[in-house]
Amino acid sequence: MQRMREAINEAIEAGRYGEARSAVEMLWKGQPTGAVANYVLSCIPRWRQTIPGKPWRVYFLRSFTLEPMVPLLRAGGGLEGLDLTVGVGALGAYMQEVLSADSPLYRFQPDSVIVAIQTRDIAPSLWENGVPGSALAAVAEDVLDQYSKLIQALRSYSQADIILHTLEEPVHPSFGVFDAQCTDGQAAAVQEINQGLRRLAGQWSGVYLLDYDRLVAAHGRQNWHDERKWLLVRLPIRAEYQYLMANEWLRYLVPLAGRGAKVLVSDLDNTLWGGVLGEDGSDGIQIGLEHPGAHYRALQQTLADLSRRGILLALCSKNEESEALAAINRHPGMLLRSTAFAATRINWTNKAQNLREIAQELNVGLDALAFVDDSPVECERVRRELPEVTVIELPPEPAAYAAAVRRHPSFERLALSKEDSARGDIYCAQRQRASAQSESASVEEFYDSLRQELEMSLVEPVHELRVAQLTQKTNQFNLTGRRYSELQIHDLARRKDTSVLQASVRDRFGDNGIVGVIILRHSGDVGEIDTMLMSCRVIGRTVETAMLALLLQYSRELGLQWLEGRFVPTSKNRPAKDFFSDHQFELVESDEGGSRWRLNVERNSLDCPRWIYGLLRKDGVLGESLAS
Amino acid sequence: MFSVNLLPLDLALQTEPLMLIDRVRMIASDVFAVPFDGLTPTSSPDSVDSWDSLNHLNMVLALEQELNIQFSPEEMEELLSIELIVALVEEKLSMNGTNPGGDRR
Repeated sequence: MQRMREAINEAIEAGRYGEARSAVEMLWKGQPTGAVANYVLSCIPRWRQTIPGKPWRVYFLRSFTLEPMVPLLRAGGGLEGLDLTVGVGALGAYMQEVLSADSPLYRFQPDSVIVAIQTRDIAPSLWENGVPGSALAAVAEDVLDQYSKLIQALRSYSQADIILHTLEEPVHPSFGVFDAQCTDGQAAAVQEINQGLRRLAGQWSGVYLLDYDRLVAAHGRQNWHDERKWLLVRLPIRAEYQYLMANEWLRYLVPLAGRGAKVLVSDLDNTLWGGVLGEDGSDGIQIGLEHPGAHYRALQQTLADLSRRGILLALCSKNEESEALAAINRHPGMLLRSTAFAATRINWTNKAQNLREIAQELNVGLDALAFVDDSPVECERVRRELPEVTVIELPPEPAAYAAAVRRHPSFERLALSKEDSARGDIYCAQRQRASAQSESASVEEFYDSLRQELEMSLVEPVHELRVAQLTQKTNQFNLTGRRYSELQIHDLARRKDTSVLQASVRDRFGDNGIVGVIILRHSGDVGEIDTMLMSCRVIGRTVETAMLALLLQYSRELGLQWLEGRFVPTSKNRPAKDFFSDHQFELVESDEGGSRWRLNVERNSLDCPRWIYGLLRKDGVLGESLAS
Repeated sequence: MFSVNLLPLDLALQTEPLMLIDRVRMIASDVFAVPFDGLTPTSSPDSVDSWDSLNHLNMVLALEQELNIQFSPEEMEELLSIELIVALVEEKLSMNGTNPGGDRR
């Protein structure tokens, strides 16, 4: 009777966690109800040891009943690698909660706050009887004023991310179709408020908009609402649509918690084109602007969009490599050519092994990979062997391919930096660097051939986002693994006793952008290295030595005598393990939590490696700070 | 569902029809977090500790979503034991012309 659940239980008891997780996910996707969510939540703790989840605290300020959606959110999040703790504020009490320093909201200490307020609650007069005219403009102004006060109050007590629901338009405007042509009708007023919310979000860092109106519209306003339950228990959303609400929240929480995918690895046959290349030949595969090739081209367009968000693309396909590359580069219908891919594995090896190699080649963890394939068998095999990898099994109908990837929370980005959009190009240059390495006779010759230039300066305001992203995402060369939000970096950069330094690297293949961060806290004659990290893009090129040399120069100018720092081991930062001992630091103490090191600034003569031109930039902000 | 030998779980993934009462018991057992075997036709808010008003709402929502039916506010207040739920759901499904045995896995 409960055969599937028995089988899941057996798999868990036998330690076959990947298999169990995959089956639980299938149950959940097939029936995303509150009941199944509870079952999913009962399974997840049993494999947590092996497949960890990132703890994240979410608090809802809300004007309607959303408790039934909490298990849906936690179950969906659990399967995306989040371990969510959820708090829900009292119904309609959002203003009181943000204004009082000891409210349940602040005692909860949320990482993210979701502000879920409906039009009919915050602007009942606008919702119910929208008489076109100046009255509505006044309502819109008042509503925006409330939101502005709410954010201001929240920000004065908490640095949590804030996710604001936009307001929705009424299904049936008071004036019927006439509302559509009124510049001061109900729809116009709601749009005015939403536009104001966008401006508001832009004025604060860490404030994001969730387009609730678009979400409701996408699924049909009439279908979405359940007026009976609204009147009975203040629950406005129909049972079948609640998991879509939860999924929308996840599209914010997954990237905020740093659980987004960095690389999308795609199959070829029946994924990026229709048909099987080995059987149908390059003339027989379907790809182009007409049916049925257009569906596959829509997926390629989606991948191109993700690439512009900074997500790397890679290929993993069972094919003859030369034949596949020829089709990719010569077929007139293809949108993505081979230069779009940062890594390719086109061979007959099993895909789990190929994915391991791709992760290694691109210097990312397996949990940074998302794998897209049409074959349930390949998907299942990867889920079982590599439970860390996010697997996106394409639906049977190619017309639905693109949407399946577009709505996945792993690929959402809540802000874009210049480096994000150029990342694909940077990796392409990196492949050329790698081939330069194999051509160079010695490692030193290779370093010389790179003609690297390192420039370090205090963080510039426009780069605070990038610096925060680096602290969030850098796992390998990271001495302490401390994570900072953009807002925290912003604040740190303005403290007199703290220096936030950015390091960028150029070489003959291109500009790598900002790839290093040092946060130095100074008191008296001691500088404490709170954070020192370097992107995996430049690992193995002695950039860290050059960064330290510039840090020493900077420390001397600040009049510091000692540099101190800790190495805090994590599961991934082995590449940084020997940094202190390799650079003349002496060990002060060492315990389970890590080791403590120091270096005499005066007596140390460390220099930039001769193959790196290092520049400590002191114009602008850095100059001012040194003068003060 | 699968054509290759990824056993043994795959066998179990194949859908199994359930009697309506067992589907209801299964939903209730998940929502109230009590063992399936502990639920009988007469189980009610009096005999199940976790059958409170929020979980009652959660159960109604799960039934509505899974069986594609809707309850009126008055009906929601009548669903006060497993057998009362089964009776009302049966009536609704027969009006819909839907087969109550389904593919809950």
